Amino acid sequence: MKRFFTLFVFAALAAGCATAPKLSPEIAGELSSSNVAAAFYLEGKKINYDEMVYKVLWNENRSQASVFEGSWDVDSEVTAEFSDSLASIGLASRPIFDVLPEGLYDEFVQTVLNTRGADGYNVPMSMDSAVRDALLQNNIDYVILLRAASYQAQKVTGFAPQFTLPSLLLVYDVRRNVQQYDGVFLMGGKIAVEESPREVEANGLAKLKTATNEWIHTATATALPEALGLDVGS
Amino acid sequence: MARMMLALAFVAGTSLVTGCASTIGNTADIGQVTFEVGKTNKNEVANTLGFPQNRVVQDGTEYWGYRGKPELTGLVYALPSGPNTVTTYQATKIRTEPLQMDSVDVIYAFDDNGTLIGIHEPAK
Repeated sequence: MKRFFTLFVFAALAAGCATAPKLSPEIAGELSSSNVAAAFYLEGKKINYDEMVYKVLWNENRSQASVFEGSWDVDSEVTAEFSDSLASIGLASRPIFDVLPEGLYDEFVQTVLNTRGADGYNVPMSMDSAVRDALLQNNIDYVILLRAASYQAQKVTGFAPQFTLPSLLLVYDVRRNVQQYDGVFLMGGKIAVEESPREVEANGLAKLKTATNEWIHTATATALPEALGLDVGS
Repeated sequence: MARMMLALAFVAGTSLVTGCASTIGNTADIGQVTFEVGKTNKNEVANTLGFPQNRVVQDGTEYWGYRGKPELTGLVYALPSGPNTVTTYQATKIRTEPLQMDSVDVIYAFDDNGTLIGIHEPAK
């Protein structure tokens, strides 16, 4: 019994957190040689700051949000960056807004929004038929989507702030009209500031934009091929 | 020497009471900034205060709402619970609804060119 329990604990430790199954080798191989549309969508165009403030006799948790909607077209800019990153690992990628007529981009956004159910849980993507037809007409075989929640900044008195952009990576097979993959995709890191995490908002969010581009490139080159089971070396 | 000790005790006492300040508030005090209606634009407000805590667009007017300081969402404190033991307590407030404009301290209104057209302080 004790030996079984030890084995169970060791297995749980070795396994760590559960990860989404990779694409089948057949689909992964097909994706590597297909035309891909890249998309990034940020659900909450804001930064949520959380801070633990040391007050000697107690600690305070404080929160603040900064809404940048209307001041930064984050979806377009990061979609272009994501497409470039996918191209740099060998995929034939184009930004989604380059392959969809302007009116249909809004339909695509609704398709993305529908991947989060009313209860907050993820729902498999069901592609709008007009969007799918337009993608097929442009010879797009797969859509690779990064759906991000919102920026999160964690700060503890005396320590550098940590920024994250929790995201969901999703692969949609346009020809078969089925979602092939969804899995958690974490991006983030430290952004150099002198005193306040909110310095990332200065000069039109300059530091946040630079950091986001770096995270996208790094994660696309490392975590994405690992998550999907792509052989980017060949 | 006695004065020196008194000063040290005062500094130590003050720091015990105050601790550290939050660093996630607006980048300037909303009570100390001056913006000119008809002249100041959105970028100048964002560069002075940071971005707002709430944003609403209605009938071509964009409203930015700011709180005076970050919201207190929790406390962690320790109290003696025996001769050699201390118990840690935590009180957390979870926001279940998004921040509404009526719970901000200042609202700035901009026209569709991004020029400031009004300032409103709901509490006043």
